[in-house]
Amino acid sequence: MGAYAAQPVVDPALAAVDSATAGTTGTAKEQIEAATKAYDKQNKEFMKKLRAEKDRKKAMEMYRTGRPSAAEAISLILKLAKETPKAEGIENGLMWSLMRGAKPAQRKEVSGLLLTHYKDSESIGKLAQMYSRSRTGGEAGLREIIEKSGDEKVRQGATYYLAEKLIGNAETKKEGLTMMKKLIATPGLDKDNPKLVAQGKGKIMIAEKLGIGCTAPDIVGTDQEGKEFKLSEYRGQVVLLDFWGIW
Amino acid sequence: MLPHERSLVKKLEGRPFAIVGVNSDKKERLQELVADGTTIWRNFTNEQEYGKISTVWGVRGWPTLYLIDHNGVIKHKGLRGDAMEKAIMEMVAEAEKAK
Repeated sequence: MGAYAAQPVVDPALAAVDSATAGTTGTAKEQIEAATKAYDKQNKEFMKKLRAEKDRKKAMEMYRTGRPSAAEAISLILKLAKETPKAEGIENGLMWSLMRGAKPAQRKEVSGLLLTHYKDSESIGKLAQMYSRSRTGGEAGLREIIEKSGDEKVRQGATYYLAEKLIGNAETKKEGLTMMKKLIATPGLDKDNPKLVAQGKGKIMIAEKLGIGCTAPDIVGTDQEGKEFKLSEYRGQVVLLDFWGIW
Repeated sequence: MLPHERSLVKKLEGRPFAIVGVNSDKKERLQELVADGTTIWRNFTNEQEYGKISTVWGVRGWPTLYLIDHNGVIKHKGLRGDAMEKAIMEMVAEAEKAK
C-alpha cells in the first residue's frame, strides 16, 4: 500500500470550489492568475500523491476519480473574457485554458474568443497546432484561422496543417495537394520558412510519388566517406531501402 | 531489426538483392558502425547538402522500410520480420525470372 492510499484523494468538487473562489476580487489579470495558480498548485500536489502510489491499479483509479478539474477556472476565465475581452491577462488565460484541456464546448468558446479578439496574435499559431492534432474536426477551426488571422506566418502554418489533414484523407487528397502546392509556391517562403517548404514537399512527394506501385524517385547522395552514389545503380536488384539509425 | 537485416544480406548473397541504408547518425558514428560490422550494406548519410533524405521521403518514424522491385517500383512499405522476408523472397524470385 502506498503512503497515501488510506487518505481520501482530493475531492474534485472541493477542488473546483477552491479554484473558482480563489480569485473573485481584483483585476481580471489578478483573478485569472489566482485561479490558474490555485489549480496548478492542486494539480502539482495531486501528481505528487499519484507518483507516491506504487500500486498501479490504485494509481489509475486515483487518476480517474480524483484528478483536479480545470473546468471551474476555465469558466471564470471565460466569464471574464466575455466581460472585458481586451483586459490584461485575458489572452494568457484563454491560452492557459486550451493547454489545460478545456472540454470541447469550452474549447469552442475559448477559440472563438481568441479568434475574435486576438486574431492577429501569435497565440493563434498555437491554436492552429492544437487543431492540427485534433482527430475529429480541426478542419473547420483551421479554415477559420486561415480566414481570420492577420498574421501571415500563422495563416501559412494553419494552411500547412489543413493541407496535411486533407491529404491524409482519400476523399480530400486532391484538394489538399492543390493547397499544399500553392502554399510552397508562395514567393519568398523558401527563404522565410525553408522548413515548412521542405516538409510540404515531403508531403506532396509521399502522396504522389511514394505510393505502392510508384517508381521510386532516385536518391543521389554521399556515403559516410563522402563518396557519391545513386539508388538507381541498384536497378535489376530487389532493394530494401532502410531509413535507420542507432543514435 | 539489424541482426535480421544482416542475416538477409548473407542469406541472399549472390542473388539480386541489396539493402540500401539511409542512416541518421553522425557521419563519424556511421564510420564506426561500418568498421564494427553493424552495417554491412551501403549507406547514404541522411544529411545531404540539399537537406535530409528522410524529409524528401516524408519519413516520420524510424526505422522506415521500403521494398523496391528490380524495375525500381515500390512494392511494399512498412513490412517487418517474417512478412518482410517472405515478400523479399518472392520479389527476388521474380527478379531472377526476369533475367
